[in-house]
Amino acid sequence: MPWVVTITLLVCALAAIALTGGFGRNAAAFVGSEYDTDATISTRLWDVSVEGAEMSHEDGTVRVHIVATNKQLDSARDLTTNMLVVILPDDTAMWRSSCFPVDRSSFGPEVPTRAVCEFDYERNDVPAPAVAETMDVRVVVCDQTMTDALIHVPTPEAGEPVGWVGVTATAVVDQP
Amino acid sequence: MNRRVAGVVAVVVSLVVVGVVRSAIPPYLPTQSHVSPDEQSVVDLEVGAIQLLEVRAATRLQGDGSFPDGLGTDATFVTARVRITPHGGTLRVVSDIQSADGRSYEALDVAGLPSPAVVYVGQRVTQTLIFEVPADRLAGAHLVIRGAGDDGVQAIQPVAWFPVEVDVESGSLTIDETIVEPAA
Repeated sequence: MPWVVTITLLVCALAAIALTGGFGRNAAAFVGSEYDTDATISTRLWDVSVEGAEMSHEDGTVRVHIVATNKQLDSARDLTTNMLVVILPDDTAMWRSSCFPVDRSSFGPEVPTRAVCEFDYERNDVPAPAVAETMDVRVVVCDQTMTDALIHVPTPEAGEPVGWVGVTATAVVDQP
Repeated sequence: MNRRVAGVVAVVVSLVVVGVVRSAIPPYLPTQSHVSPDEQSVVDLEVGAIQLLEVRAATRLQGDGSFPDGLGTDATFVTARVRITPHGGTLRVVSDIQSADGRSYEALDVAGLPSPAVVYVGQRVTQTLIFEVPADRLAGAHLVIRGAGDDGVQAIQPVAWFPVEVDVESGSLTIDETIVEPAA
């Protein structure tokens, strides 16, 4: 009867994995603590506050407006790669983005600087959500590089997500 | 035989002494790496002459069409009006303000305002560099200007090293146009 015990243990193990989130993409995203809009989320290299978001159905993008404060010694031209992740209402994560300062060329040390991070559905292999006036998203601020695989495990090894902010993205029509 | 051994020992000891002395001296002297301005506020580097005409500071820049209401900051905008005359080749100005504690604030390219210009041989260019620095980092800060060729290869040393002594004004700063004229 040892094979019965073996199969029973195997089934129990698979059931346990499925109940705790399953394999890979089915796991609940680990997104850190919840913060309010405009609250400061502190990471090792940046302080970030999320101001809001907008979406462009024409461009297929979600744009997140933030204020980023550089905590390094030198001016920086770019934010840390994949520092922000946007989670759509269906729990799909978008982690590839392009971030740039709004009206400056760089982020000076200790200087709060407004910036925009643009998330493209196509670039993130995410189907565009249905056209609507608004969409509730979660903006996750990470401490270091985040990947699609990492955001979908129950607890990332290094606890990279620091916090998240729930914002309502408003549809905008871009000027030609 | 003893004289030969003594000679070898003397050579080895001399080499050791020279090595110790060389390692104790920095690769450049501070006065060679950071060139301070003369009475006319001019620093004459190998790549070109740089004159600091004026430094101002405020929390707002006067806008143009891009931001008609002006551009504000939680820190301080510092503007440096400089006149640059290259000596031997095209000169791309690379500049930053270095705070007393070693932070580096590079010159900003602000949307709607004149960008730092590339200066060609035979020209003299007067332009305004814009920086954004927290007010409490201005004490003891220096404006650092170094030249780089038009290929972007940066000449690290020496650099022009201007002390930043400025009071923060209450109004807005207006950015003057870049002036390009023949070098004298």
